[in-house]
Amino acid sequence: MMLLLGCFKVVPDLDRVPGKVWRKVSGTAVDTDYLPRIISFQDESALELMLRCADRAPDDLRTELEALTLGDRRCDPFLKNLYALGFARAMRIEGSAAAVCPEDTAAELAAVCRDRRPDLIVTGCQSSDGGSGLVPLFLAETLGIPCVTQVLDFTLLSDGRVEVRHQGDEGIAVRRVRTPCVLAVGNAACTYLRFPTVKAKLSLGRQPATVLPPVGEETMAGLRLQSLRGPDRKRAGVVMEGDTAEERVRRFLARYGKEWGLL
Amino acid sequence: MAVIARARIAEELSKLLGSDRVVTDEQVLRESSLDRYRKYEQCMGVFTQPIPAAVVYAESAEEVSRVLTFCHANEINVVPRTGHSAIEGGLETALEDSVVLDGSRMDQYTVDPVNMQVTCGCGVPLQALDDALRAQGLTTGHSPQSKPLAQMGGLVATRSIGQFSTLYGGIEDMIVGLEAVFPNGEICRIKNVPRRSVGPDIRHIICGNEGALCFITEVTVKLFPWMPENNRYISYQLPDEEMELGFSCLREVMTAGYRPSFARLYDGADAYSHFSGWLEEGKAMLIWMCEGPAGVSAATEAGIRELMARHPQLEEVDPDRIQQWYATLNWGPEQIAREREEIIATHNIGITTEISGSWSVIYQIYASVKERLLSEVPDITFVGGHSSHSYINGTNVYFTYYYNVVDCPPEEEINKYHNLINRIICQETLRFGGSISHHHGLGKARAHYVREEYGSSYYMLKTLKQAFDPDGIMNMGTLIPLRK
Amino acid sequence: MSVCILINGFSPAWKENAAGVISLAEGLDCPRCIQFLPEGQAPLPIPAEETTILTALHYETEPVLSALTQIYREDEVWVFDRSMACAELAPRLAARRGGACALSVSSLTREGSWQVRRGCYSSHLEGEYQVLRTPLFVTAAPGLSAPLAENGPGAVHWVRLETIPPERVEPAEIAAPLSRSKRLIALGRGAGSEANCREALRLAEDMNFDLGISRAAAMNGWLSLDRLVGVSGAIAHPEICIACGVSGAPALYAGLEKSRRILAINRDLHAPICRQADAVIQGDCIEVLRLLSQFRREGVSPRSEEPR
Repeated sequence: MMLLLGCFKVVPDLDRVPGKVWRKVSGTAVDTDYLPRIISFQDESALELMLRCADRAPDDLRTELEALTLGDRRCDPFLKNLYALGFARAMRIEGSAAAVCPEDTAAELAAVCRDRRPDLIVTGCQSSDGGSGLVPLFLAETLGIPCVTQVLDFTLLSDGRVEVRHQGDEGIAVRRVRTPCVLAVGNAACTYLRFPTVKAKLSLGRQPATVLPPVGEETMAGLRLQSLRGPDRKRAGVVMEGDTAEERVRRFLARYGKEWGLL
Repeated sequence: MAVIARARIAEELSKLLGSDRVVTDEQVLRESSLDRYRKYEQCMGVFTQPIPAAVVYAESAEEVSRVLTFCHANEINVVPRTGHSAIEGGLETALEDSVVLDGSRMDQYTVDPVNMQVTCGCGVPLQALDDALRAQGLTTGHSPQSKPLAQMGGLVATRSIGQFSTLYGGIEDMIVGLEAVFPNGEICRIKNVPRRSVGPDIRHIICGNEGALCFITEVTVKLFPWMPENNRYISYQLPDEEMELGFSCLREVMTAGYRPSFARLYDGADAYSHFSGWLEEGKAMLIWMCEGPAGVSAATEAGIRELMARHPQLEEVDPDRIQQWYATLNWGPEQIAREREEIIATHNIGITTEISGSWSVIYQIYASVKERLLSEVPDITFVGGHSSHSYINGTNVYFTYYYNVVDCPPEEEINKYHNLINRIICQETLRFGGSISHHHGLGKARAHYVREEYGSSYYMLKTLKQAFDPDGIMNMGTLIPLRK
Repeated sequence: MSVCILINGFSPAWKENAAGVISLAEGLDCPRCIQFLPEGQAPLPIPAEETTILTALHYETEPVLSALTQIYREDEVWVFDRSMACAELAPRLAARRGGACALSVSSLTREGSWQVRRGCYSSHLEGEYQVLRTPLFVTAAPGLSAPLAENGPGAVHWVRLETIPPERVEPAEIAAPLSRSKRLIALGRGAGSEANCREALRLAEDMNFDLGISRAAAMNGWLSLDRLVGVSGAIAHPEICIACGVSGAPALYAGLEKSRRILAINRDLHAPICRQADAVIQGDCIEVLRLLSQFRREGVSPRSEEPR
């Protein structure tokens, strides 16, 4: 039996923030409480890839999926959703994901991993709220296991290893890695998390999430945020006039074609 | 249906208006054969409707008249279109070799601040218009969720309604005069006056006709002062089990004589999808917004709060949260593109259907629809609902539902899921005496229920169709279903 | 406390990446350089007093990591390039040495303690951070550049590593990194489909442009990840960039903002890219590209501007 543990972060949906909010920022935090919550994109890919991996695991290999997050009660609906998708266990370490530094996050996740002893830990490389990109690597180091980053897909092998397809500087490589290890998922195409039916949510998704207390040792933060600023990206933005696309293109070429080296 | 060959249709239209106005590109024609009713088919690149023979762009009422005269003479089905944001099949080219007549290039408008009116070509994009008006301290007051995409012609043709309708009314309350072209080429102009009593109000032959009677070329709508600095927000959360109380709270505010601009009740499922940043699961939400002169919005706010204070089940929500949320509501092209990608990847699709009913029946409609959808529809992943437009005598309910498309080719999705859901919603609504479409229009999707919806008054609709489109060339299948 | 810079010579973009590190470390005392090189390759011309070269037939993380752990010197601040390999190495070394780590750093300064600047909130904003403990391990942000000085690598010390090759490697779809492109089309989710992306590729070739894509387009599997432009991909410095069907979100825009001139093609004039471009053509992105290509090919002399 192979135990796969997915670590994910619940973040505000920053795509919904109107542009002018970024231009007016001050202090060291931006209010994001009003935004709907989503699972960070690469973590979502990680969870979906875990499900696909379990779907196609060889017959002689039983797999069990567990999920873990660090956060407050706003994470619970996501955990219940994972139960509805067939995860055997969905856990939350009580805390505030935004406020905990990557070092402490990794320490908390590691404590649970030592307890659960997964064969494979799957997570995203970097959280979509502009995270540090450090947690999967800190986690691997704390547990003393290998880590592969920019993972695009992975398959379990009968010998207990995992075949991993990942993006590197020279192109996309496929490696066979011994377990236990950490797989940090990168830009994996077409990996939105599937949706459980209402019936599944009513039968499997009623289980409460398992809430774990934090280990809560002294913080090991390496950085402290001092200030925030919005970069200035404005340009002229001259809109080509015309009733049709053809007219606008002609106008553009007339005005800028030679100067911009297009004609 | 057309009496001339398909290839000749585009040719003749080119002679009429010029070849730069006629599009026969295959991909454009495919995309022009449907609207967001067949969202899943469209995402999967499947096109089950007859592909039109051409899309033609008219730039004046006179050109529209020439095209309609030509189509009339040759028995060619015409589908009028402007913003292409319809969601009930109204834009489907249900007959072979149809022509899509697009008015989006008629996009000029004139503002008349003295008479508080703006006259718009049918192709005026509402977002652009309202942005320009707001810069002058004015607004149309019309703000449907489709605002970033919709244009004036379609908005009038579908009897659309905006988010602030509880104060400003629906489009039918906003229109002053209109110009439309009929299938026989007749161009009719209704002049701009504040009100008149000179016979039946013929504007309402045009408003809501969904392209089945005429092509709208111009509309004049009222203007209102734009005073966002006076906006007030009031909001409460309540247990989802208290939805009936929620509807009764909406009713209380209306029957006490208050006119908030925005009045909403979200059930727990729908509320969570909007407010998961801070709202617990299982909590419904009541939201009001008050607009207008400072004294009026303050008094409206105070009045609503006084009424709601009598309900211990309501827990107040910080108004700032609502103000921030409100800025994120409308759907632009980026969100539609992202939705499309998700559908393709997950085969999970979300649709909406809205109905209306009097206060005494609305909760029963909501509850029985929800129960039936959850128990009868396979693979359903989400059902939620909210009320968003209140009147002295009732309100609407806007159902949102998502389902996985399982073991089902794209061509069959609409029957296996979408039409089944619509049937359930229409059955329950009619059973309790409500209306099966509050503001999206009958389109082709719900035209099947037109007789039950109209009852004995169906005679009036049928006669209008026979009178204005005796040879059946205007958007056939819309309002009145085609005979199979 | 001196700085050691680390360059991954296995990356085809090593030159731009090195320029980025040099820029980040400007003004700091950098006597040492560490390079990772494929076996048989001569040292990269990165100026230093002394250079240690880790060389191997293939790049593999674990042996490089072990070697680096051994050659780390007390009190050094390590500044890595922006390659994917370095984004793995910096945090792991920081963990091993009990130090602090920051990735994609755009500025590194010292006033008493060290300060770094890096993007946050999905690159919408930039944060200034105080470093709370040393040693410090950072990677350079994309988009930085400074010229390489003429001095050579100084005294060179070689370390040969045994590595295991991957099972297989899928070669990159494009020959040269887009960071070197002079004429770039950046295609986003507005393209709408794989077929449209392929057509855009043909049109780009017709017009003698390279084609890059946004993360949104890559995540649909429309074109290869090699073409990714933005914070997780190439940072381009073209003479002209056509931002085609992209919204202008910062993660992608970071890859375009160094363009001399930007033309935005978008249906939606409210999209942020329209404020961030020099000129804007409203319309369907593929249709407008076709028209641009057609008018260039036909040598159509543009009509003089007509009043509207």
